[in-house]
Amino acid sequence: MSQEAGKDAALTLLLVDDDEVLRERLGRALRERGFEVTTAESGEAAIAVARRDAPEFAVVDLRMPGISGIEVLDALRAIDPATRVLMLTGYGSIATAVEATRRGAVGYLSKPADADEVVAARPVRAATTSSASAGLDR
Amino acid sequence: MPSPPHDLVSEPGRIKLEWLVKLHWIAILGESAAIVGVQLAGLMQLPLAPLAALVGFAVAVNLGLQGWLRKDPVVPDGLLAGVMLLDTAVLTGLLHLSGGHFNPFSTLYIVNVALAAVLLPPRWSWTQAVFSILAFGALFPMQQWAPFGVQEHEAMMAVHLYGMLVAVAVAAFVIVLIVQRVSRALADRDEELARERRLAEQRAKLASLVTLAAGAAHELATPLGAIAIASKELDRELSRAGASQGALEDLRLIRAQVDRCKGILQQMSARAGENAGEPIVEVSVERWVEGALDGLPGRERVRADLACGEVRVRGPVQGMERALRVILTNALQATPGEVSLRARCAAGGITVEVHDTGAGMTPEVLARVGEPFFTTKAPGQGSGLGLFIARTLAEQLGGALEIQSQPGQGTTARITLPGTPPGREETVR
Repeated sequence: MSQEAGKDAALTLLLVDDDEVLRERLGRALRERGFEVTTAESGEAAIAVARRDAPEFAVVDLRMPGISGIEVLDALRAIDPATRVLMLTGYGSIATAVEATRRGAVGYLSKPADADEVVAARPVRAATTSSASAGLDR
Repeated sequence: MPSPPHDLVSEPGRIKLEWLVKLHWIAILGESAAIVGVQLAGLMQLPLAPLAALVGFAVAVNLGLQGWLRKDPVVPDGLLAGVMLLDTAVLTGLLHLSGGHFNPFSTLYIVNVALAAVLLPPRWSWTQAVFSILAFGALFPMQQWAPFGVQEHEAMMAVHLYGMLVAVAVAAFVIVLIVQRVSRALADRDEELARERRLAEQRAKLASLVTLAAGAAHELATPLGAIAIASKELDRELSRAGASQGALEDLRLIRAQVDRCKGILQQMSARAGENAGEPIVEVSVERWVEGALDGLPGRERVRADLACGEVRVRGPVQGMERALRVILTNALQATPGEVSLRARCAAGGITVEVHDTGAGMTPEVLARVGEPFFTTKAPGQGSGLGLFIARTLAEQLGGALEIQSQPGQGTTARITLPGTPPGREETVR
């Protein structure tokens, strides 16, 4: 239905954020861009989803009650190292976001960010260069 | 921090002894003058040889102390007390040789006691007091061996009365000098304590504001994110459906304003977020200033005068560059003319001054400058956080940011930072 998704139409995406409004609206926006989106409201739920079917792409809020975004990142990469994880951060946690990229996240985006920015920050597929980790502020 | 005022009460013993040596010289001069004066006036027959010997002894002791002080020794209270007890003993000898308990200069015992009470801990002060009383008391029985020739009683009485006048004058002068000095030192110390307390209060206020700001920034990020997403999606939807240009512009306005909020949040959390992640590095003052000037709009109007050579400064260098850039931007916006940037480095620390010849600030504005969210710029031009963050950073690094301004006189912003302590890696909390 949407042209932007193009050849990535079937890309599975796991969206993890504890804020329901943001999660569901962003999930819907990403679905409209052709992603096959699953949402999870917590780190525990996200890990359970990934165990059943590891997503190709994950968008993970850094700060959540319970399991933190960094732990989710570690777990997702342990389940499937091919999963590309983009961190979403609020403020006061950029240091942690940098730590996340060291641990294998492909990048981070500061909130507020819209769906287009998430898509733009999504790293290109393995076919092309993998150095693009958009969203780095500095 | 400014060096504490010259404080006789809390200074180390060395300074006290230096002071005492100076007083000794004055006393020796006074004693010599008194002896010579009395002798010339023919008031009394003084035993010059033993008197000269005692004064000579006092001179020798004082010279010895002076020489010793040049080695920068540690002077314990006990030694100070010993010197002062010796003073009292010498005074007793001088009195004994020149009239004994009749000598009006026995008032000078009080000066010695006052000095001891100021310079020494209680134990030694009391020792000095008791010793002075005993010494004065000893003059009574020692009278029988007194070597001076007593003139007739009436003449003696006249000498005694004038002597009393002089002695009281000397004692009064010295005691006022000492006590004034002490009370001034105490007042200075009180003032310094009050200043410290004010600073601590400000810092606490600042810290809670920063915590609040960072917390608010974090909390606002998510709902703003939802607004950003929703407005973007609505924009997509309506563009496709062919909505009016006005409606689409409104949506883009909403989306753009969210980005503006994002900028403010970024600044609000600058301390908690940005600087926290930045490692503390050592960088030359010149490179720091260059970094701040790099890409600064209007930098051609900045006249830099850097005299720091290779002096280095420690801190989160990007945060520091941002802070200096904020100050430079303010100065450049205040004037269409040139802005001077001076960096000076001394042993005590680094001073960077930015001066503009703009309109200056009224005292009311000056008093509020650096408060978070206080700005005189047009809405959208400034968040009122730049200087606040710059000041916070300067204080975190153990320095300060001062702003001086008068209407019509332009504004000077001065960053002071401590000199670099070698070694030690740390990160800003």
